[in-house]
Amino acid sequence: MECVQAGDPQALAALIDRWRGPLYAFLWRRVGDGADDLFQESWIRVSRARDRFDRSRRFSTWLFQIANNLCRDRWRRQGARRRALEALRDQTRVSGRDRAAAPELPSEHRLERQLERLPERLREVLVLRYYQDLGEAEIAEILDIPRGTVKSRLHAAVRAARALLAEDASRE
Amino acid sequence: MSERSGDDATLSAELAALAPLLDRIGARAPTPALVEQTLRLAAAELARAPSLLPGVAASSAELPAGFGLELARLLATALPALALGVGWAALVLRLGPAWLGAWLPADLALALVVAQGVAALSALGLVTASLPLVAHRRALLRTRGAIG
Repeated sequence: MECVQAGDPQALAALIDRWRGPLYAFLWRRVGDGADDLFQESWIRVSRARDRFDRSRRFSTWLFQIANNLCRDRWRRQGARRRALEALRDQTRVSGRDRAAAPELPSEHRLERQLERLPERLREVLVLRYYQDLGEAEIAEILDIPRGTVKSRLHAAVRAARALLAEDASRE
Repeated sequence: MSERSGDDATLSAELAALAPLLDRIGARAPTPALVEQTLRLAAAELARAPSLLPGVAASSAELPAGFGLELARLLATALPALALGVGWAALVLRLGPAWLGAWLPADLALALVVAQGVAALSALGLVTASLPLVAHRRALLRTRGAIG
């Protein structure tokens, strides 16, 4: 990061190469199809704000903080549209009789859709903890919330995810 | 997912129970084209001077094209109002002590008038000082086509 701050493009390329997998996976699990745009925007912001990076911090924490803030912004902007889609989904929920006629999506996609129904603040802690394998302290730093809040949200997220995923499993 | 030292036993157990379902949700990888384009855009940002504040254009030694015109436009709009403000402040300073002195002790009347004059002139000073900043911003936006 020191070389990036000095303006070295090769250092930036190495950094992108090192973190592209974990970052994209995180963004995919958070926003799905919008991951491409946010992936680009995350690195643009890293470049733009390079001089504000405190080298005593872990780069991964800062990177995921930028990425998560972008996800939150996107979620807020799409809030109204999402609520309308959810309402439509509830109205057109297939009954047992119609289920045979409805096309069955692959299980993975259904599970993804179920997780999308988690509230934003629960989904972000679950993705950071489970898929990014981050500790509570780091999650707290990324989300700028107290550790206790991370813990309580994780418990709530796990309970909610269990209910949603069990609902999907019962359909199989 | 690994068990973390900060996790309590309940949370660890719950996550472990969910693991078979959560693990079925796969991750994706960025395409080579996306990574290449991202590197190009991010490297372009590296070439620019760093910005001091989020959302504020990076500093530059040169003034943007059209800055003079923008400043002239803003001054032309602001000058009548500034003149009115200065005139009003002068009027208050000139006539205020006598007018207020009819109800208030002379010292208090003078203090109030001076305070009002200082406040008015400070506000006018702030507005005037902001004009070059606004002109700079407008010139940049006009260059980028964000405003007509």
